[in-house]
Amino acid sequence: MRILNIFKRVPDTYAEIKLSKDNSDIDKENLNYVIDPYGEYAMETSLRIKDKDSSIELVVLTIGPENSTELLRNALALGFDISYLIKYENYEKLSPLALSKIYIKFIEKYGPFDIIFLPKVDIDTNFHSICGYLAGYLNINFITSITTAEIVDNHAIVERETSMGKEKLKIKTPCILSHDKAPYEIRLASLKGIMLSKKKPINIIELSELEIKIEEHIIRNTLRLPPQRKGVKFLNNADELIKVLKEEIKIL
Amino acid sequence: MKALVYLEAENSIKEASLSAIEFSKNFCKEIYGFIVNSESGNKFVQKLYVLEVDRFIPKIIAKEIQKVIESEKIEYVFFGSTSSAIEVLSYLAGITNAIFFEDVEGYENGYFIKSIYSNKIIGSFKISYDGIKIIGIKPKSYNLAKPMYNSEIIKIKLENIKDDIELIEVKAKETKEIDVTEADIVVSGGRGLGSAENYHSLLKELIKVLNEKTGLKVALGASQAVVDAGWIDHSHQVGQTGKTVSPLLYFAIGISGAIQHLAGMRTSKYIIAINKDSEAPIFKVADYGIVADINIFLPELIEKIKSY
Repeated sequence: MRILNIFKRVPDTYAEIKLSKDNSDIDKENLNYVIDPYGEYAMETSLRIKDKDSSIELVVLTIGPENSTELLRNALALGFDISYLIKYENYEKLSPLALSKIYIKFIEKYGPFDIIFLPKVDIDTNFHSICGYLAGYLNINFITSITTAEIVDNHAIVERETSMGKEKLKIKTPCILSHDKAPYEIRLASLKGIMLSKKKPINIIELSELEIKIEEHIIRNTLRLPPQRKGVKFLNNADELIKVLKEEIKIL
Repeated sequence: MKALVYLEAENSIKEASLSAIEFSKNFCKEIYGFIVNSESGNKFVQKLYVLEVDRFIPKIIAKEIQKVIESEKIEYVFFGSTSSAIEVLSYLAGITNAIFFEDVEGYENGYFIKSIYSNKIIGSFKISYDGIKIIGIKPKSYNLAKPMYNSEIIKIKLENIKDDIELIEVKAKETKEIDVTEADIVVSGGRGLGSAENYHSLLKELIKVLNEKTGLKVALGASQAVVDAGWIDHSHQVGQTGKTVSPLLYFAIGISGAIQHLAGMRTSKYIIAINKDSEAPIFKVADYGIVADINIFLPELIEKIKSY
């Protein structure tokens, strides 16, 4: 069995994001990049699956500039077997359609995979659609926003939270799953894992190798910061707060 | 040009769907609806396709929408950006080679407005694509459509749906909860409440009296810290690895205001923060602040609202 995890290289989630001088992009100077948080949870789920069956091969993929290999090295240290980087500097400006087509080309060339994990949302571009796109193109089963997954025979047993409650679902492989926050913590790389990772391959793929023409369907124009809030007015007691609810917010 | 709006209902049509109908009027004159197992929304569109199914399978629903798109020559599909709609329509985007663009907050001079980088940045985008465009409107960010038609209703019935996905178990929530993204008021609590017991008893009491006195939809929210501590499940979490909300009023109670939390709630119309620490970062985004011991202040506030 082979599992593919696709994660997104995103700015550190603790970082304040600033704009470049001409407002055409974010200020990337001194910005630290990390594996996106949902991609990280998905990777932990894959590692847990491999903990139970070491014969499973774990493949990890991301797209980005050449130094994204640092993040892939982390994934290898955690226990992934093979890693791939699709080298593309302007990856944050791709439309979800274009990004999905790049992933499809990769899957066709380097697959097949029994399970493909994606983040529930790419937190940089706010795309939630990649999982659906891939399932539609590849014509395979998919479930979005899962929180856990286990393998039983040729099926994945997954859980997810919906507005109705907690669902447990059984899905036949091959399948594509987008991952929400998991109820467990993410492991750290062990010293042994870090040593082993140095022998594992990081394969860099040029976009030209995937024979794909990038079309700009969604053109990003200027960026701006969210409007500043007016500033806080401190209140002294519950009576003053009730007055605000009544006279300013007008809900009482 | 014709637009198809994917509608969702829970008892009545969702507000997010009504925003999507209103938004579609920027682009098209003829507006049709598509809804599953409901006839809600029939006064809001010229023609309403009603799909009746015994199981809700996103792939199968997407394929039925595809048929309508083809027969009606639809160019735009609009929807309220909920996770269930995204699941159906992102698959539709794959099978129809469409552009998919969700969580749109506005349309200004030909540009779509959407928050990116976890709501830390607002972008403007131009879509230039000849094929089908599927566009989702972020809940609470656009006006609601008003009833103005007597829709022609077209029913499609599918029976004995088979699928490779099997529902093994559903643990339904004990009480029907209002989702934080759909509420008018969100009452969110953090570690400053001291314990899970305080979190549940005090906040639920506040929610109850606010709902009774205002008639508005009030939901329970949480910071990442209390979700990680197991006080409440993840569906209540507001912030970067949780949900993004923009209610009329957001109460941040005992929440210090880490940047990941602020990213999920700072577009709320009004923010009231209650915290023991006057230096807490939450006060940087709040409109009104109260520096107080929560366990003394909240019971007093609840009593005063009750007797109001």
